[in-house]
Amino acid sequence: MTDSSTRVREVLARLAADLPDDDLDPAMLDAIWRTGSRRRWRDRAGVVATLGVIALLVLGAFVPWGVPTAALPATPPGVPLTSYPEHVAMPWRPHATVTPGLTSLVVPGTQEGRVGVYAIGPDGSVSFVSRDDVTAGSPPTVIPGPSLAVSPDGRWLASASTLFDLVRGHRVGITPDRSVEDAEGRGAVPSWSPDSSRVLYPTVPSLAGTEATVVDLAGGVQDVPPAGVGDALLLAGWTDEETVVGLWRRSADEFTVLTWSIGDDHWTTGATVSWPGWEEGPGAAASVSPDGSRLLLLRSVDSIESGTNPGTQAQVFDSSTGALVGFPVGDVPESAVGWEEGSFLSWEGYGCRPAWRGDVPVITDGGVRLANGPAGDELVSISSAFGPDPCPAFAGNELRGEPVPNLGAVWLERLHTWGMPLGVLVLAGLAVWLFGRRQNWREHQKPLPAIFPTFGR
Amino acid sequence: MVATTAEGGGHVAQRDEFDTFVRERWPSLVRSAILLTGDRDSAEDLVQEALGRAAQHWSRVDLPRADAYVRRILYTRSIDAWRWRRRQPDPVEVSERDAAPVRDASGRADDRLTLRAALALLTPRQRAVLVLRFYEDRTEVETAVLLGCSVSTVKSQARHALERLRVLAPDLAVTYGHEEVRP
Repeated sequence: MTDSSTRVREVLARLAADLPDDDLDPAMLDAIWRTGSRRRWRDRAGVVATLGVIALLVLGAFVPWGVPTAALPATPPGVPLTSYPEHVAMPWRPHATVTPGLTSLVVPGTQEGRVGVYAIGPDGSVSFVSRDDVTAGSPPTVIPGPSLAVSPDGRWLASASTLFDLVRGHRVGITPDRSVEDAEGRGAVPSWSPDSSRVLYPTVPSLAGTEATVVDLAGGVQDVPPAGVGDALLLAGWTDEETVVGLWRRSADEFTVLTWSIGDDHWTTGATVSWPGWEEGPGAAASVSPDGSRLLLLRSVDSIESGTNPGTQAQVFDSSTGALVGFPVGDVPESAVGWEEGSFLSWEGYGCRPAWRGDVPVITDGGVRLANGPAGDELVSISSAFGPDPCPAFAGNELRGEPVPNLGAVWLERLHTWGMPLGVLVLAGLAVWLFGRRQNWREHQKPLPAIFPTFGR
Repeated sequence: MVATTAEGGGHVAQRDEFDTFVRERWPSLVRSAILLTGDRDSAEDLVQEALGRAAQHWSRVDLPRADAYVRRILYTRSIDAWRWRRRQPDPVEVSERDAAPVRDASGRADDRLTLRAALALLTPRQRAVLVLRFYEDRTEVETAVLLGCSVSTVKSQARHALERLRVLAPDLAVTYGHEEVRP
């Protein structure tokens, strides 16, 4: 001890002695205790939350979930599926296989650099099938989404030149010389008969000398006779197991509805469909509703707004009379009531092929929803992980039966998507928490001497 | 039900114990904190912070050592906590002219005010060492335990603090000489 330290000690003591002693406010006492209680509970909650998130991440990384289970009725071959997934979420590890099983819809995509299709079951389970397994010969660089067609029973996938068995995992080459691959665009979409026994492949008449080819799964290929000269026939699909509907263009904005049955050598003429304002040229497609009562006609137009980018207009007609039906307005109509004659739907770009739910068109471009339904009211929610604009191809090109909810898969995908930032956030939180605890650790872990003088009594 | 009552009773007892401790120790803690922070408001904030942390773990606090425990929190928080430190004047931003001797009406330098101004220009750790060593009269070992550092750190911090005081407050330094700290 020196004089100098004594001097500092004296001055410090006088400095402290000059300070007035204020009484402690009882409210402050209570506030201090409550602060301690809050910290105590916050610590406990932080530990529980951190452990919970870590457990979830660990579970997500090691537990092979992603294939949801749902009780679905068994569907024998040829019987259309009676359900479809309400949510399509990308699982953590999509199962790559050649036998995805019964499939409600397919979405073209890539996985780990491989091109192929995601096959989604009625319960929302997702499998990936490589393009090399699906297509034959020299496959195209990509599988064009609009040219895929799943059979109504969910067992077959028809692409440009092959049939692929989704249940047994083998392909059948059936149209090696029909120039189907040249029939690009909407008109080239294969179409399945309602009993999944036949598939109709459009061709290019000038090259193949026929309008289309019907392939029978039981064996046999049959050419569809030409409907006339001039523009190609717009094949709209099947009205029953043996009848195909098409539209022959009579003039710029008039079509004749034609039907052809298996075994016939000519088309039968039906009603006339007129859609004014249609200019000459390609860019048309047609689709008939599953019950055969309505025809959906699509036409390409110049930009709806700017006049530069192409757009698409869609219109619904009565297939038996050719009358213009229009589009439903407002909520989903269960009957013709609510359909507004003359109204049509339009969107930018070519988009995806519309599907059907009953006799109501379902738009699949930018979300699967009813035409003119609320934009946010999606019938099938397909996550963006399948691509920015996934073009789904539904079994039989329709949403039949009941939707199967699968919110668990949706949340698992969200957890997977957010896993990395969430993990970083958790680690950052842990670091901050540990930094704060460092002081407490020092305060607690280093034991104070048994006899430690109390200051200022 | 019995267990709940016992737990509730223990909680009330702890609360009473804590209240008694705080009422008794509050003036002394605030006084030390004022020397550490330089003003009463900041000092009360610091003491509340320390007591709140003590309340958080009060069930594990040994009452005879409670004062030392709270002071350990008080001093370490005054040094480490960024929330606390950001309110403190940065020594490099305060001109040393500010620490010029403060003179009373008779023209004599007021040691207390001079020291107070000089303390504000020390680093938080140097202040803590000075207050512990020369105000609370702790040994170097006790100071090291309370600050959670080594004895050699306490020695060096005390030496640097006194050297800086000699520069900042020459009037006080007349009798400082070369500081020899007791073991």
